[in-house]
Amino acid sequence: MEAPILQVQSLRKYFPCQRSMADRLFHRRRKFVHAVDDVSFTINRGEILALVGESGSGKTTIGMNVLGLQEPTGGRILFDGYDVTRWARGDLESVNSDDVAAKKRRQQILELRRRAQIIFQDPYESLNPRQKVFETIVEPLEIHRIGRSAEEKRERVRKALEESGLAPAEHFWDRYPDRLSGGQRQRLVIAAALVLEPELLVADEPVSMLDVSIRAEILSLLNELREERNITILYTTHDLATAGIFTDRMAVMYLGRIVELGPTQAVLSEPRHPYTRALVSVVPAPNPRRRRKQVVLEGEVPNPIDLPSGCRFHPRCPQAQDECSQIDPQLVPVSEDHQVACLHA
Amino acid sequence: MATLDVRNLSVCYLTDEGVALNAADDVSFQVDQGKSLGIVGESGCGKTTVMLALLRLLPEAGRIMEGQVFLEGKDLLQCSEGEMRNLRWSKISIVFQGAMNALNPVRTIESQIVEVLKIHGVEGQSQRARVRAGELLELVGIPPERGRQYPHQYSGGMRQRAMIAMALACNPRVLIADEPTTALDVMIQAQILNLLRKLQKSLNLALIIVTHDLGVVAEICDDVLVMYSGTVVETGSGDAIFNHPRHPYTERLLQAFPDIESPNADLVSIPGNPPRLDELPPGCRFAPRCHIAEERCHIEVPKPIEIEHRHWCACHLYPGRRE
Repeated sequence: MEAPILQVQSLRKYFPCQRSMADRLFHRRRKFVHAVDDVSFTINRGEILALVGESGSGKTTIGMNVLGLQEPTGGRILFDGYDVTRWARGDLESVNSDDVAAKKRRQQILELRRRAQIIFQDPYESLNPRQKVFETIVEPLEIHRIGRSAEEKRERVRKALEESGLAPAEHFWDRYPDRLSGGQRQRLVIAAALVLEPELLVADEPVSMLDVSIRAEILSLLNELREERNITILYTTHDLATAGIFTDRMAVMYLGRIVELGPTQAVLSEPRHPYTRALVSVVPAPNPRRRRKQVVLEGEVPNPIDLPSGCRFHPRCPQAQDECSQIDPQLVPVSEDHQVACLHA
Repeated sequence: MATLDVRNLSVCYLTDEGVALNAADDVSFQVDQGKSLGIVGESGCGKTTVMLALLRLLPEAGRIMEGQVFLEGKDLLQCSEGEMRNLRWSKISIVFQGAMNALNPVRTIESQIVEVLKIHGVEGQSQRARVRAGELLELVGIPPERGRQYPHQYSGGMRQRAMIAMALACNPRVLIADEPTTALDVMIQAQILNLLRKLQKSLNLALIIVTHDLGVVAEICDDVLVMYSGTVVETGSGDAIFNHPRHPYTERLLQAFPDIESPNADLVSIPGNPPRLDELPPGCRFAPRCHIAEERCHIEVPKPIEIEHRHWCACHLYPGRRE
């Protein structure tokens, strides 16, 4: 079997906290936000993995690290066999252009970046309002020096636009983003990623800013890309309902850890971790006849600076027992491809 | 008599060129004490405009063209500005969309609630007002001692709770919550919805939830009103709207809503976009995007018809269209 296109191994990412004057005076140790703390998973080529969690669970940080936009504190990320952990350190601008080895390294980093692209959450903020549609899409081609002639670039832009559902391309490319609707803007963002023909797409909450009636369009578009081009997608979201529709596997995150990982349908229909069970129970059903018995957790996700001892979820867990405050559970298989990090699953 | 009775409300926005854009057309609904109404629609469909209009808080360019708004029998649109000021907050209050970000960052939560109590003359004396503020915080599930904290010490969910406490300061009869859970996490959303449901029952409020999220409405609303491009396309009980939707827009909207219990159902999207207010189609406003539109849909504006008891639908294809 082909090796997974993306392997994340024991990824850790801590952000240092600011120390106050008093902290410095008394030589208190610097504290850290444990955004991602020992997370491992793999994605196969052409697979869609949903990374689900509430805000602050670390899902976006994982996406950033996978793309080399941040440098991990620890662990490894292998993208198609290359260790990309040091992407972020490979500052493209500062490389001395006379150095042949550095030049080669630079080429390598650029090429890896071309192969992994991101779609951001908010299409109202991720587009430059002063760039026309054409300019927005041609810019990545110029950065990566793709397309020899203006003609060829034009063709690539046209193809990307039309594949993203902005057809005919001529109709759109002279427009500024303010003449596009929310759905069209998000299509434009997708086109700007697609024009580089990436193999991995990190889709960070791609539909949460869109109206319900156009969400389905964007989700089907992503699904088509997977089917037609075998693009691998890491879909991060807080919305279990959209994550349930077109993803193959789902990883549920809580406070920087994956608490449950398995085939999407198994996770949603038979959640094993108490946190997943609570999350699934509060997803509103679009029908008042099917109002479910909800498990509403009290309080809020604790801050990721001073983590609870033992299982991070135990202070809010309806099923917590004594040992939960002492033992930090690891992900263990409960069935062939379904893993849960809970002592009592 | 319904507590809040809105009849044939129409609102326009005037452009700089003096053109009147029709943002809400012939909107009618009622809410009773202890009942909840969900107003659903996509962004730009006029749901917030209608709320602002009935509170007479429209921005300067907004004009109420016609209609009546009866609050316990009194027509709000005929009130003087002074009378209106007394009614707002004490009889009818609103938690605005994103209001949790509108708290004053340099004042404690308690002092902001005390201010409301004093301005509206509920509690003139500072000591008693502070006690009342504590009670209000407790009512929404915030420990009263946390009233002495500042907004930045609150999480998003707690700030939303504080806003609800403030809206309830003067014991209003009607509470309007505009997108109360948008931007909150699912678990916090569930907490806030449970709180609203509890308050509606215990205080016997007439509750209006304005939202784009059908799931929120399905969770807590007795009645539902579906808006599209400034018009009411369908109203009825929650059960009728969610289980027997009649308007093609409502049908499609429900099919577009993902349901984790039937993950294999095909998600439908509604092609196209809602019309711009300066390019409204002459007939049914949904006709250009409707999958079953007929010729007259594009020419004639449909009138709402009561197809079952208390279930109204504004579509030419009723009666006569089979289920």
